[in-house]
Amino acid sequence: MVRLFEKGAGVLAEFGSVARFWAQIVRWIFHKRPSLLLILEQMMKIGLESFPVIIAICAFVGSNIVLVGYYVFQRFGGQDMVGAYSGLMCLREFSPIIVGAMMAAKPGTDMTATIATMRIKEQIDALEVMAVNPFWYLMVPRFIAFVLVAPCLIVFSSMAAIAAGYVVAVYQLGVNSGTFIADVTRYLTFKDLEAAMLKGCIFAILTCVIACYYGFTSGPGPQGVSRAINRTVVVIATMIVIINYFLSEALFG
Amino acid sequence: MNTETSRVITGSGPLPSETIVEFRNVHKAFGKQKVLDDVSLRIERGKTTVIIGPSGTGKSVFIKLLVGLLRPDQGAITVDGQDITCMHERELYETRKKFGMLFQDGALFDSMNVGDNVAFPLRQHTKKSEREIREIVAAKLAQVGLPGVEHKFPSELSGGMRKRVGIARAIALEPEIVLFDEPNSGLDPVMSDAIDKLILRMQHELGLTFIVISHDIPGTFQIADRIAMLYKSKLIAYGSCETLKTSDDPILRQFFDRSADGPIQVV
Repeated sequence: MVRLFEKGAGVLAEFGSVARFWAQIVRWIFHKRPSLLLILEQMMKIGLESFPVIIAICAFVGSNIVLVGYYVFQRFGGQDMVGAYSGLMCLREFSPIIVGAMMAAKPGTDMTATIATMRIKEQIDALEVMAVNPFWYLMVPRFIAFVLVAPCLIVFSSMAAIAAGYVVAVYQLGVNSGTFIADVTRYLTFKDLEAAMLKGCIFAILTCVIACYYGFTSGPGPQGVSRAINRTVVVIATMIVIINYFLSEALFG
Repeated sequence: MNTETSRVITGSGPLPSETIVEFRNVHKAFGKQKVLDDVSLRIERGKTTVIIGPSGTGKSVFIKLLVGLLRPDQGAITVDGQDITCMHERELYETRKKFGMLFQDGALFDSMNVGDNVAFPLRQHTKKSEREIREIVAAKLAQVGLPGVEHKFPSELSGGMRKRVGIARAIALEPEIVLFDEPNSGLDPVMSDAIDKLILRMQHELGLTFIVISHDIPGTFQIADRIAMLYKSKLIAYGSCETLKTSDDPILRQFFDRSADGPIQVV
């Protein structure tokens, strides 16, 4: 019981540390004008690293959703509704989750590894001694880049998922093309897109703050770096799934 | 200097010149482990002061306290008469511009080439044009004996070259104080001597204040104007190179003779 209490206190303390870390990033956004060059560099990196993987995964997830939806709906003759079902599932739920998870897996782990390595090789101390704040130089450009890139990735990944679902529905399962498109346009509203982009932004903030936090507080040596990366992936993936439920409830419930 | 005053050996050289850095009764502990215990020391402007001592006696903590990477639990640290322990973040960053530092492995940014590494502080803190920056970088690299390596990446350099690029970066902004954290560590004796000679030559050319953390006894005697010895978290000796060299203090003797037998316990 005592051990459980201690563990709970430890988790709460870590939440507090992450919140303080986030507050520091936000403070430095307003404290000193961020470098546009560094932000663009990070946007290119995050976008280029994640884009192909996210598009490929979302295309297959979109196809899968149509297959399962068609199987369920045809039992009561509602197979024509598969367009609405796949569109809503892709845009509202799967695209934000996949974009969040992939941003954690690719640029997120890269960020943790980079910052942790800089920490153990004294490069972060070197920044401090050269009178350059590491929050301003390392975290702020990444944070802004994540927040700007995530909504774009949500839009493209949703389009890829719905397009792949269309191909499977129309060319493999024989759903009428016009019905599928009419379904998608009728049931998907601009509010859905806004909500999905908001989810993407929230997941981007979460991913960036946690990835930077574990990199910055990494233990010494290669073991410290690998543990930091491990924690980044586990914590972000868990948090995204949990937060997604509450966001869906709040935005679409 | 009141740390175990009876044991502290003071220099008998010329009258002390202007103090640039002063540690006054500085205490620092991590948990229950005392790292610096009531350390007081004045570092003179324009001289090379070498801080020596066995591993784990607080030398690196000393240097981190000096640049404000750590805060002391007690005591004052002044740079040019200003106490850095009670400075706000902005003032501290301003004060840090007076320092240049060579880290143990150079701490060069892996993602940048040598030219960008040396140019980094110039790009961050000056409004110089790219052309001017490139000229300064080339001059600093030539000064450390590495002309024309701007396009190489840190991973393509040897340990000695990385240290020299680190020195070029440390002096890029022409700071008042240059800190060297174990400049000879991990180097072969020839390269080690080359780095010592470079430090000596730069001190003569630039006339800056150099603070060096070192284990290397021959190198220390070669470059030091003043030597301070930390032992068991305390400052036990401070004085001119000649005074300490000829001291018969058993701790100093054992350290200078590189002997495992004596009062310094080998853990």
